[in-house]
Amino acid sequence: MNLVELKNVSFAYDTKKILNNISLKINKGEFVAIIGPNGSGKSTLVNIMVGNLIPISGEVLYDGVNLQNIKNRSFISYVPQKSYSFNASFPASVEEVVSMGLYAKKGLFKKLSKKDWEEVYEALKIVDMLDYKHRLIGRLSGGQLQRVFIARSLVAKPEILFLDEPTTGIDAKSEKALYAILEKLNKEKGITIVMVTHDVWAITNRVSRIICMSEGKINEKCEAVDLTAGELAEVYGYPVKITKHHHNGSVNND
Amino acid sequence: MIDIFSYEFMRRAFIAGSIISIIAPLTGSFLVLRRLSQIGDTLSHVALAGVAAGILLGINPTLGSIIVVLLASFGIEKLRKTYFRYSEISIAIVMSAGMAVAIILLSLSRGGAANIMNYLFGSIVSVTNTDVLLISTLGIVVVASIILLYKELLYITFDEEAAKISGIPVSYINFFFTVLVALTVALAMRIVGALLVSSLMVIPAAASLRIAKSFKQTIFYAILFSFISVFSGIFLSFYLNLSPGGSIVLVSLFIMGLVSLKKR
Repeated sequence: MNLVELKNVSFAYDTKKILNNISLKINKGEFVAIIGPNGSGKSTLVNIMVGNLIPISGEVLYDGVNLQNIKNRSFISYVPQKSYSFNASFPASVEEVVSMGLYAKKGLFKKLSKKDWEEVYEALKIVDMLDYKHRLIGRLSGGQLQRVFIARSLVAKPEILFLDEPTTGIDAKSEKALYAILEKLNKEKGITIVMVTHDVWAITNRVSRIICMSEGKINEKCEAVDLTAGELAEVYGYPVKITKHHHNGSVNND
Repeated sequence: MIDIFSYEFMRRAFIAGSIISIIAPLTGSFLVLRRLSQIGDTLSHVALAGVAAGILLGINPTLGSIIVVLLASFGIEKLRKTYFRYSEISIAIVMSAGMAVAIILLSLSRGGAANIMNYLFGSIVSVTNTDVLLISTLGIVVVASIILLYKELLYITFDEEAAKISGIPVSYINFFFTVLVALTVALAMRIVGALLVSSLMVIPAAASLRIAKSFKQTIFYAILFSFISVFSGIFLSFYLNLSPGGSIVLVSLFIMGLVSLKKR
């Protein structure tokens, strides 16, 4: 069954068209990567799917219901790109930040219960950050921070998790750990994952589908996991050199 | 040594002071972390207009300042939306408006100038029973509101955008929080004085930031430092015959200096 369906979605800022008549289906349990050059509309597409932006035409459906008619959206979770550029000197501990993921679901005036805190620790355990629960967030590395923000998204038990370039600004080792966590969430917890990324070759053997965006449209040709340099060059509009990262960390240049 | 607590007015000052020492850093910590420290300063200047109006109309000046500060806080919110790219403009406009009105009203009320000094620099002797009642009642309202909205305020302070996306009613809570800040300023002014209100909201939080390991600790230490500052400040001002506001703020700065020595 389709979890998300976009029907003829277009979006524009003033007169500048960002998304042009996009139709797209994402099934439950998929792990989808959205790739494409800067300005191709990847982030806008995600923002429309999570409901931060409203399309100028077309509709976004979840299980057949228009997103705009869905009030309780806690089944959708979103880790925006700017997560890593927040105020790093803010005096919040890791557990406090993760608990924020439960606040809206909990409702006004209600304190978090013991069970809620157990869920916070469970989410921290999944991203392998439980040992850091009392650490100030300003004292974490980029990769650790990104995992904390993923835990914050997980704690409300979403069905679908959107991530916008989660590996920007983190080192290769943390990146690998992050992808492993996402893979685990997808396979073991059954969470549908949609991720915007530039990092094509690191994800090809993890994701179930790649969506290529160029100039506000989806390029149907590259909806396969095994992209060739030629196909990719067509998406990005310039020649692309393929660098394959292997699990053992070595790098191959084709 | 004279027994400080044998005086009725000192007992009133300590009751009022202890409540203020809790609410000022409580609201202040959120303001500091949202980079809105100047709002306390703006509202305290506006509050003077309320005091002047109170003196002129013959109503309790603290009550007068509460009403005017509430109006001003709505004005700031409104202007902040109008000039959303230059939100500090709203603060400057409201501050000028408040001071201008205060000065005009004062020039109209003969003999009011002497009375307003108590509000400008803070006073212990002149705290009335009505003041204590107002400060206690509204102080409890402020504390209770912040406890009830604690998690929402924390999320908004940390990441307003994310809080909004997650479904927290951010604009309502922001509006209500501004009301709480306005109340805090109007009440705290009675003891520390308009010119120094924002110091009591900002300095304890600034000191606390140096040592806190979580947001909860930030609030806890800010209140602790403020409580110590207010109590020792009132003692100092009584025995050494100094201005209470000045003494309180100097003690809080001293604490901040001590805390800064500690390695993180």
